[in-house]
Amino acid sequence: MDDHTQYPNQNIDDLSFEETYSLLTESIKQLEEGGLTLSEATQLYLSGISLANHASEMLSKAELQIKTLSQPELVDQNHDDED
Amino acid sequence: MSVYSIAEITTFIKLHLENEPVLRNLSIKGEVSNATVSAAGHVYFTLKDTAAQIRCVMFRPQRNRHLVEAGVSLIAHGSISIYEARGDLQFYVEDVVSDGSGALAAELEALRSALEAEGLFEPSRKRSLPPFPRAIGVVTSVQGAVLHDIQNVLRRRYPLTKLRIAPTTVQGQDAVTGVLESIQKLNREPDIDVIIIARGGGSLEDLAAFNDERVVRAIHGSKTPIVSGIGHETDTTLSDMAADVRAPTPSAAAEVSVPSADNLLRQIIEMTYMLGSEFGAIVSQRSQSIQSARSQLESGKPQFTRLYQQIDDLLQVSFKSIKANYMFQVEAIHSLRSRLETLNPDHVLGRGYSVVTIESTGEVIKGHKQVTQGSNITATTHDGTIHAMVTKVSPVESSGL
Repeated sequence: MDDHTQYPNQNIDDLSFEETYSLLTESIKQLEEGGLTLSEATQLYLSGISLANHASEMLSKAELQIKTLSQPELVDQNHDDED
Repeated sequence: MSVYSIAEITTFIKLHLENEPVLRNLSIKGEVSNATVSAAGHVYFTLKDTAAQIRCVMFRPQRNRHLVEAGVSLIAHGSISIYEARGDLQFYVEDVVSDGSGALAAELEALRSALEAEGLFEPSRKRSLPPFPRAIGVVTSVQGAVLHDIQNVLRRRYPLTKLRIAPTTVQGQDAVTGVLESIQKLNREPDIDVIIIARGGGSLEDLAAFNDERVVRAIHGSKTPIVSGIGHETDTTLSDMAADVRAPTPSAAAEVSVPSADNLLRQIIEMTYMLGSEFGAIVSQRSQSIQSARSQLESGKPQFTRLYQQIDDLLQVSFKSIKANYMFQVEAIHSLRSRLETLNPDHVLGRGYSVVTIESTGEVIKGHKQVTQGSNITATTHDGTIHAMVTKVSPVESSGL
């Protein structure tokens, strides 16, 4: 199993949170189910770790984007002050 | 000071009351309690508000008598006098009408029943919310604290989502149109996964737009799931009943619309552990397999030893064989060399023979015909060369052999 099979046509950085979360869950499921070669298991483990890092990074770096319809989008600037 | 009888004084009061223009023709608003109907068909009840109460009676025939029910707010019209036999001050009611809010409540109840019968509030029709909404649409007023509260909750809980605001007035005559337009607008946005309809608390009249049939139908028909957060916990509008999820307040609506980033981070950490432990288990399992194979090899060692022994023996045999062969070859070579030694001309000459050649050509003389008298010849011995001239040539006489 290589990266290509894991995220077809996409770089891990382009994955949405939902996609990342779902692939991470799937990686664990496949490891649990077994029947993998050592090489496949290693690949799944490594890609799983990358997915987990990507997901947690997305969560910690996110800033709420606010847009009033028919007005330009704003990135919330008060994130650090108010949380 | 004069002393009066009770009858005198009650009559006096009665006259005064009945001559007072305000008390002869007035309307009083209050809530009905203690309503009873006498055998004669007269209706007795009490009108009250938070501060006071007054006894009321409606004599037959009465108008709108059916409105007189305990707990109902109404406006009664009539006059005030005194019932001398008991000394009670009484409101002699000629007509009653519903209080405005009471009528609104009745109308609302009628609409609720109709929409419920139509299935608009059916629990089975309610959709669950997506676990990770890409964007949240909010229908609310930009005035007041509601929007601010929603922003704070989203920012704290799940800042990965985007907030799309469709501002509208939420009270007054334009509220219904505004709310309808906002719902439509947000439904057209491609990435909005949840719509929150929110408003702060207020009276029944203040919340009227959210009890409007058009709004309720728009919520019911929304392509995108809707979470309602209208008023305070005690307020329930028809919009709340039609929404996919009803939250008690605007902040609570924001809470239920998104997952908690803190919980997600904890889950991701757990999943990282699971990845490690599952992978570790696989590696450990493989390692055990190898260990087990190794043990099997170890347990099969005697056989290998025997094989090694056989191989060793074979090697020994081979080596001996090769060695013997080699010795044979050495012997053969030695023997061959001895034979060659015997053929070496030098060794022949050593035994007293010499080689005679024609001096001019070096040709070895093998017969007498090769020379004549006077031919110069060379005889080579094992230790030197003799130059000579032929003095006579005599063929060997035939011996008859």
